[in-house]
Amino acid sequence: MPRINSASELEELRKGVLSKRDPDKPCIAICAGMGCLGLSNGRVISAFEKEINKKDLKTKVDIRATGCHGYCEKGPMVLIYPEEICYVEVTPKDVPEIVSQTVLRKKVIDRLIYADPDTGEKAAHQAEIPFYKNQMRHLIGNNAKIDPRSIDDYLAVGGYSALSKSLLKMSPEQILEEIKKAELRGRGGGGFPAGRKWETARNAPGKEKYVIVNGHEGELGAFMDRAILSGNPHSVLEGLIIGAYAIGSHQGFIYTRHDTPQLKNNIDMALTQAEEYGLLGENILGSGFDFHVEVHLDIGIFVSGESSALMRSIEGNPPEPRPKYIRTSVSGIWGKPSALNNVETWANVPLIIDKGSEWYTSTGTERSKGTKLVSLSGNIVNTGVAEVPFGTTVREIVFGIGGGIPNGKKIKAVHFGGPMGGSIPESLLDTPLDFDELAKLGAPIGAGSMLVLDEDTSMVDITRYFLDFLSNESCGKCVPCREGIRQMLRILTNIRDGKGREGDIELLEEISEVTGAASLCALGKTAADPLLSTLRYFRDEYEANIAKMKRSAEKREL
Amino acid sequence: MAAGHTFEPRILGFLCNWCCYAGADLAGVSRYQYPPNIRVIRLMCSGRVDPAFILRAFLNGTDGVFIGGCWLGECHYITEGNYDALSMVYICKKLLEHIGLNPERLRLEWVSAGEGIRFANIMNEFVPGIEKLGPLGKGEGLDEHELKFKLEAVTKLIPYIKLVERERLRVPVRTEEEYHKFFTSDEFNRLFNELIGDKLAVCQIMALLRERSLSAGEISEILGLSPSEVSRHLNVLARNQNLKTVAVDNDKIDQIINKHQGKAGSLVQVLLEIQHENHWLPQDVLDRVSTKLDVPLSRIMQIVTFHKTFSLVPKGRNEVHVCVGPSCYVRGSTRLLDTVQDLIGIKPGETDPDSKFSLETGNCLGCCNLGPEIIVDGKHHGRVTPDKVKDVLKNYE
Ligand SMILES: Cc1cc2nc3c(=O)[nH]c(=O)nc-3n(C[C@H](O)[C@H](O)[C@H](O)COP(=O)(O)O)c2cc1C
Ligand code: FES
Repeated sequence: MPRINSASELEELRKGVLSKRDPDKPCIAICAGMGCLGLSNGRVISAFEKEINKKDLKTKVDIRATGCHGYCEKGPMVLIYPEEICYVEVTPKDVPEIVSQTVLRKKVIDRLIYADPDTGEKAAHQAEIPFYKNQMRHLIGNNAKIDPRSIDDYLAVGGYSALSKSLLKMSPEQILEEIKKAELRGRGGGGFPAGRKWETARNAPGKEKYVIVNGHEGELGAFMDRAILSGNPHSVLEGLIIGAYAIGSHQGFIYTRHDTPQLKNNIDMALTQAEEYGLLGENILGSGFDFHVEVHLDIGIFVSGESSALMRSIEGNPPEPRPKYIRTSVSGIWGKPSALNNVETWANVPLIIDKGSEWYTSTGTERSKGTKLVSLSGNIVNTGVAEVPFGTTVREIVFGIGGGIPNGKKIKAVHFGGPMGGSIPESLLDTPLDFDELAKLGAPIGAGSMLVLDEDTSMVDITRYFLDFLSNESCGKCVPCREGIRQMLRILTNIRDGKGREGDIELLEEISEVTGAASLCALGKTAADPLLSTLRYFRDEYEANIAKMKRSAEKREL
Repeated sequence: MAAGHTFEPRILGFLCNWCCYAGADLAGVSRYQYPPNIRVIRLMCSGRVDPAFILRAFLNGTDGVFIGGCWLGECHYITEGNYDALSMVYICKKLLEHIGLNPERLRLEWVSAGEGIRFANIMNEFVPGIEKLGPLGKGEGLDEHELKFKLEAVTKLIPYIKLVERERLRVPVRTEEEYHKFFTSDEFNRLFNELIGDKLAVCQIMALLRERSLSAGEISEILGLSPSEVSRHLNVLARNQNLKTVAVDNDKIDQIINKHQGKAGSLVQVLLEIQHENHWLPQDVLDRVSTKLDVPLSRIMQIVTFHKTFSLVPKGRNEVHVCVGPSCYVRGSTRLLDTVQDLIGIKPGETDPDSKFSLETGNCLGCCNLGPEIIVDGKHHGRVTPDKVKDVLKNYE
């Protein structure tokens, strides 16, 4: 492979890649994302390969196993280019027909396209399907066009042009300025301005600095980071290198899940390919900037996604958080300044550099700019990953994109942010998706998981569920978190099982206050959030459960 | 003395500081006569006596062990250590019996600080009793090597036995009668054989095979087990790949270590990879990692006990994960888990006796469209209703 030494060489290479590609040549893009994995997409892919071989079409038709298309509910998904015909729930049996009818004769197979479950209306193209129609797919849109294991595919959609622009035409200060102007906020949960974090790391004393991708994605019900990191790893890598250049770091880490082999494989592949092209390693693009990346795997502990715990884990220590009197951006891995950002945050960076902060800030709300990936799960018709501009209302996401609640049930609440988030009731569904608006309601957006709950769900039970999870995941290092969660869980279990007592709610509130104030890391500090938000909106459910107990106790006394 | 040399039993005493030790002291001050065979170790509480102490005493050739504590209800600690001592002694007696030693060699008594005479009386009874039993092992017809082998096998199992004691053999009501009732019941016998007896047999088989290769017949002869029992254990061991992993493939482990050596945070990555390759982390492997990477074992244990990703016990041939993430939860994973438990007869964290399945609950793997789902050996099975799960599991051997 040729090593690229300048911007013009990169553009030449890109031209070469594009000239070899005929835009009219049929291409079958099959989703090989995590969600489709359990739906036997492997069998569909090999069926296509066999069929193409059998018909001797290898030179005339391309097959591409891509990352997640987002609409996991209807997987395995197959897109036929250039017409972009979209087939849902494809089985190996359908493959010969698709090849002979659609690929060769351009005919749409009616039974395989999407049909609206309510109206029966059909949609042959991806853009017409209601799930996609209401999205703005800046980050995940490329997933269907890219084989994550091919850097050429990424170059073909304009990849690494932001990197060449940054390294060769911009100074680190200019990049920082651009990111700050774009008001990019961290997507991992806190919503902390990325530009400010980078600046702190840049200005922190010391020569050695690190940049880190947080691809741990421990939040329950969140699966968008995986979709990006395994479906389009180069976009994250490109953002990381740009960030490293801005901060003055020469060593990066990608921290990701050990239980999804696809992730590590695709990332490793991307790193190797980028290195071969000279987009990573020594003297990147001839700019004189050196940068290396190592991949680290987590050990499946929720708290290892927390910044200081994650860094301890990279050091090879058990992932236990430390108190953050000093920010990790000043003293992180081995005490060196380390800038940690979420996968989605990094993936936004090339976009901002490429199209400018003005373009970027034109979408979103007053204080949350750009788009957000959300993963829809729970009692919802369309499970999957959606990307919407900030400011979209929750109702639009759940009903417009998510298709509403299955089995004719009514919606009760939407839970944001997994075990450290909160729920909003049906009456507040018109709230726009926004870091601050939702935080004000006690349901911080978190990493973007939206768990939809129907009318049958007991809010007491679901709260208990999250606390149960946290009590297992608490590292046990600090007492308020370990014991506080345990006691809250005990009381909640009693209430759920009809053994609640009067005063329990007040006791819960008291414990949650102490746990929140005294815990070491955000796990304990926010552990009571689901509890507090459900107490805020569904207090009557708790009271009803306790009253039931009281009544039966009185009866016994009579 | 007729034969020119008499047997002088060696007796070790563990006495609690507050009662029995004071009692023994009083016996001495009051000039009560009792045989001088006992050597005393003073402890703060009889509950401090670990089964390992007793076994070590016997391994070092002690002929009898005496434990003295406060009367029940009068222990000086709110934990009531003397009840712990009581159950520990019941279990140890059972263990001694199991390996062919006379349980009378171990004795527990309550002696208060004022009962000097009682202490002397007990000694006047205990020491001649042991004398009659003869030297340890010889009295029971065990040769020295066999005795050592068996005691060592039990010693190895002690951490496990303590776990079993805590989980399954704890008596809920703290009275002497309840303890007596439980530890002499058939239920206790059954649990002991099932939970400890079998393990002990397996432990001994493995220890034998570590020394040299033996046929099933030879093993049955050495251990005094029936051949069918031996072959049952051997089957389980082989299927578990235990027989193979006893001799760990050191080259492979070294390869993994070398691959990561010198890199940042190599320890976690090494452990993950070994777990992935081997499905569990045997003790000798951890020792090896510890020496090679020059990190203390305690740090390794801190990491590997943090999360269920790592397993310190062998897993079944098929690892079943039931997702209990929130989306699967609201879609009915609890019922699914119940069904799976009924079908394969084990709870999360356990492995069935045939080593066919291990069951774990897993957290959200990001396939919420599939919920409720189970994952068997890494393969996802989505939208599994409780009646569908049978069809999924029957495909695994
Ligand atoms: C208990 C706990 C778990 C976390 N898990 C994750 C995670 O899985 N992924 C993630 O990106 N951030 C996670 N975070 C947030 C990180 O600490 C950190 O704020 C974030 O990665 C910073 O990136 P951002 O500024 O781009 O959001 C977690 C925080 C806590 C307290
Ligand atoms: S203090 Fe004597 S037995 Fe506990």
